[in-house]
Amino acid sequence: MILGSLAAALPFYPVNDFGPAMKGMVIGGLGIFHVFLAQFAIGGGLLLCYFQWLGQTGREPHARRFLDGYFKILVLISFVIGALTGVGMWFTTIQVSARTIGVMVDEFHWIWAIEWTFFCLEVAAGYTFLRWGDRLPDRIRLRLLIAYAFAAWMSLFWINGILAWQLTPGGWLDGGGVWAGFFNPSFWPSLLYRTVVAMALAALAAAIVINTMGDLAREDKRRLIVRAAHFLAPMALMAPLGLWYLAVIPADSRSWLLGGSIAMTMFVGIAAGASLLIGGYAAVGLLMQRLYINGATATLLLALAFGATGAGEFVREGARKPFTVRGYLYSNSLTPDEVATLRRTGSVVDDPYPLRDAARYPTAQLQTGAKVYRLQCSVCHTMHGANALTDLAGTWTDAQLRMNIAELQHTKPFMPPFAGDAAEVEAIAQLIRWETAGAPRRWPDTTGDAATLRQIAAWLDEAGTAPGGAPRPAPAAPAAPEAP
Amino acid sequence: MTFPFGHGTTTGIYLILYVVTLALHVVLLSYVLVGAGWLAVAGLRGRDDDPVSRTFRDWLPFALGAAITAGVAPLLFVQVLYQQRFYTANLLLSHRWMAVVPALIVGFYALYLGKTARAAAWPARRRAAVASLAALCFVFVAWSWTENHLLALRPEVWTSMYAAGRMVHLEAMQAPRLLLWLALAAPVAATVAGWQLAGDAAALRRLRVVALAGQVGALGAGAWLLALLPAAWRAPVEATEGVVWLALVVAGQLAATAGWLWAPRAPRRALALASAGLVVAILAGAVVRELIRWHASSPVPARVAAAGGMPVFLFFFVGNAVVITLLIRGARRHLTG
Repeated sequence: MILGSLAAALPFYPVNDFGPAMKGMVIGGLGIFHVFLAQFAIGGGLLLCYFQWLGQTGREPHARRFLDGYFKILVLISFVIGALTGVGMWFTTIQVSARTIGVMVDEFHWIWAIEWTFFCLEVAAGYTFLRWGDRLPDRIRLRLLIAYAFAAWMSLFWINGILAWQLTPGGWLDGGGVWAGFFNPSFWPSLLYRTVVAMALAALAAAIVINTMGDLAREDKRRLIVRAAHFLAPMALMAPLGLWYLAVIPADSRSWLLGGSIAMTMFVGIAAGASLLIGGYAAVGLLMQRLYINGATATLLLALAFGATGAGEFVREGARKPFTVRGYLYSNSLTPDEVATLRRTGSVVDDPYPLRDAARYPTAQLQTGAKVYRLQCSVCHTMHGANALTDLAGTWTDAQLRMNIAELQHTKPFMPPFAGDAAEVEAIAQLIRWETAGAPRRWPDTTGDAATLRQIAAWLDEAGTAPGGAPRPAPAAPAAPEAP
Repeated sequence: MTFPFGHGTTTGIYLILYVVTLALHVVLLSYVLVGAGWLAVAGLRGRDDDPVSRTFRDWLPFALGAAITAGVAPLLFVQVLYQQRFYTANLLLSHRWMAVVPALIVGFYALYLGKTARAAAWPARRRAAVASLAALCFVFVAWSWTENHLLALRPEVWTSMYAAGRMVHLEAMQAPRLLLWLALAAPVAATVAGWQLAGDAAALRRLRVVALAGQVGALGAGAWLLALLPAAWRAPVEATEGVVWLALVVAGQLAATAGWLWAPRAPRRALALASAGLVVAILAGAVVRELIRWHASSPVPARVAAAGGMPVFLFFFVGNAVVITLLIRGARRHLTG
């Protein structure tokens, strides 16, 4: 018998603690690194095709030398770290939110399987080129590079559909199936935007590689760099593509990015600002004035691009709040239907996993609060570290705590509704209060405070179970005055 | 219930895909495990410049890249088939489990380092240290997967393990299971390397020792593992269908052994026999391994089985296989004139 029963609506998984780091930081750190490398590999493939063509048509005498060196770096970085951080992303997502990746696998396993066939093509074409490329004629070299670049880009095509689906599931929510979810509203702007980013990363990395080719004259290097900089030109499309993306994402998500959440707005600004700096330098310095760019400057620009990638991924992840799959699964891995059920039953009564530190809590109520925190809060918050509950809510009064948690999705609309009963609200409120007080050895148990529980129940009812962006339930009509 | 369709056609299709892609992954990982081990031992003996060592050194980075890529498919299908078991085992092993990723990165770069011109100028023992590091990384990954697999089959220990905060799951079956994998890797790697060196009689003789030692080791480890299987796990293996698959494993292993014994006299025919035997043994062995887990699990939920995309997958699976074949054949045709 498997815990929580495979047939049950709500599977319980063991929850790990990452200390002061919130889980989003863990997956975000690896995710940004992986996306950066993967996009470099995709753009790199396209750039190599371009340089092979330049070389074999006699347009650029040093193209082939650059190409062979660049390809080795591409293989050493993207085939090793890129591929393995991809596997790492899968494992990390399981650690952070097993149910989210489970839903994604359930719905899109054939898409992932298709992507895998392109991984195989990418590896086969890439290694064939690496192993025999120097002995092959240009025609076959170009064929291999086109196959490699196409396969790499197709891997983006497939995974982009899944990632875009998380924010804009489109017709999938109405039962439209896998393809309705895959070709969702943000699919094309996201795919095209990422393609432009991939090309830009490849060009900036190329500028660094060209600077390491010590036996080339400076003029030869400059010419190669200017050629590579052609791949920066599509950055001009980033603004319209970004606006297209903004136009198709849900209105509340858009509002977070455009001032509704200042942290998100700042990250939008960082991504846009860094891209603008790179694009401006490319347009004026490289494409118009055809300047030489030294290794230090190229490295700085690539670092800026890394910052832009990181900020962009933060924005993409953050814009989904309070969902991890828009309209279907909240950030804490509970569905809207389950929230309604757990309001009646309580959320942790069936959780089979005990607390590892149960003895630390002086009351059973605090233990319940710790379990509620583990199930509903710990995916985005810590107790004392990053995005800590004690920092966010430690100064609130008891009544504030109770009401704000009970009406969580209205307290902050990027939070999911609280998925438990009044006793669990009180338990998590007491836990925050106790942790803020320094975890004293004695603490009152308020489980029997019927008046408080009634008040919390009224707040829960008032908040309803719909997400914060939805209209609130209509207030109950006042009782008609009795006839005299 | 008859494997693989006892839980319905769709579950059966996932199982077939899982077993077939796992078998492909096993061939490649065997080459990597044994190749790295060979280089470590040969380096320690100061004799790592023979054709077998050169071949392993040359091909190991590619083999690892291919093994990891091939491993993505069974990693995907295991999540479709046994989601809650697999995820729970991952979560319980926690950081210890996540260490497989950096271990593979270190192992990967160690293989590349061992192949560089700079490493060629080093003393053999330094190269052996690099190869040993890679081999240790891969054995660690193999151990972790064995541990993960066994833990996923043990829901009765999940809560206590979580409560204790342990990130290691040890049980008696782990050692024979890991030894069985490592021993079986030897004939597989020897056979692949045998094809690469089919014209070199001396190399084939050395590989034959590895292959036959692996077969003997696998026999011992397999018997040890069978003796330790709990009754509930043993039942599906001892049932009629289990015995049939087990018989196929034995038949395949016997064919592979005969092939290697015959290798010095007719290398190519012998290697063909060994290859055929090993393909049968790996596929049937993967089924025997799966029977235990499959009998303890439920069918894939209807909602999951209804997910669209399979025809498109099959189209690209075949299409990309053809493209890969054409690309490699085109390159080889040019190289060989």
